[in-house]
Amino acid sequence: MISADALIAQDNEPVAATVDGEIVMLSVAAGAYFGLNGTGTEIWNRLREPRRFGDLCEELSREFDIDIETITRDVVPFVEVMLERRLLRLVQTQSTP
Amino acid sequence: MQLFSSRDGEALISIPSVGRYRIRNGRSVIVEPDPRADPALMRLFILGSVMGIMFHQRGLLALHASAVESGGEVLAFVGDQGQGKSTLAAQCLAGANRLVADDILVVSFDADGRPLAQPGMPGLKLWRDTLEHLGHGTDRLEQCWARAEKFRLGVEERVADRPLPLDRVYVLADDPRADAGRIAPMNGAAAAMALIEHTYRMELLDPQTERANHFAVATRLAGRIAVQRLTRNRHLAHLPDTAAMVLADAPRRELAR
Repeated sequence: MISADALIAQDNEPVAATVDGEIVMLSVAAGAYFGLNGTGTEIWNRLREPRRFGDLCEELSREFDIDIETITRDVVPFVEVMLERRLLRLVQTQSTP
Repeated sequence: MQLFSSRDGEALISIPSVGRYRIRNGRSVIVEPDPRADPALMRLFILGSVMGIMFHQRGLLALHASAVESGGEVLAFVGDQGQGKSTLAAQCLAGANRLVADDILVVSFDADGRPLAQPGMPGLKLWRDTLEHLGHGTDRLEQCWARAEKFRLGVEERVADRPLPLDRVYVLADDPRADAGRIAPMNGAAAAMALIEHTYRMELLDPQTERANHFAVATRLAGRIAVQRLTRNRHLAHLPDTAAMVLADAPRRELAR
């Protein structure tokens, strides 16, 4: 499972467009299209710059007034699928020995 | 099984026992017929896949749709093969309404970015039972190649003669319990995905050079028209009520209110 310290960000490869407030994406590399619902779009828009996964969940928890456990449980599978499809990327941090 | 390849603005499509077609830059088509080819079948591929490739190469969005004009604006029906696009369009041609396109609907944008439906060929391909339902005999109609029960109904006197504003698109679905039907709005992402999915000959889009432009045009269109799901019982008995419902529908005016 993705750790709270993981740094994640939008991948540069997919082409994204906003249609009535929702994100639609084309990944030329994968030859596939993806549509995000309202929640997915909220998450995507917060990841233009690399963010700590834990910070992202805390922010969503505050703004939508949902407890952090519930938010994390909902966001983990979404982010994992987005990473797997290479729509999001893991940003390498300098590892400490 | 047809073979397709596309590179640097040049597409090749090869259809066994019919021939090979080379389409270049959306401008020229070279046909190399198979000696055994039926000329009618050769023409069918020119009016189908070859046209589809030409639109892709020109960067135009062509929907797999049938469309009619009513009161100066255009409504279009998309759906999988056999979903009843042409049938519903034919039923909508009552009163002063006109046919805009059958099967292939090219959409462009005017100087202000408003979507325009381009008029297509002046006829509809319909099943015998649909024609009979609409009060047309099939004796004098041309039969469609390879589809013995499908006929071409010419409506030359009832066609749009210029590009007209595209107002809304219905994605057709069949549900025997839905009777005349119900209309449900589709949100942004679903609307865009539906227009992408129902692009004419989507599988013949060059993945390297044409996909990005197609995506930009399809998502732009999705943001400017109402895309809705129309779920109805497609039995002919319900057809007049379904047509009346979509003709009276005014989703964008309701949004603006």
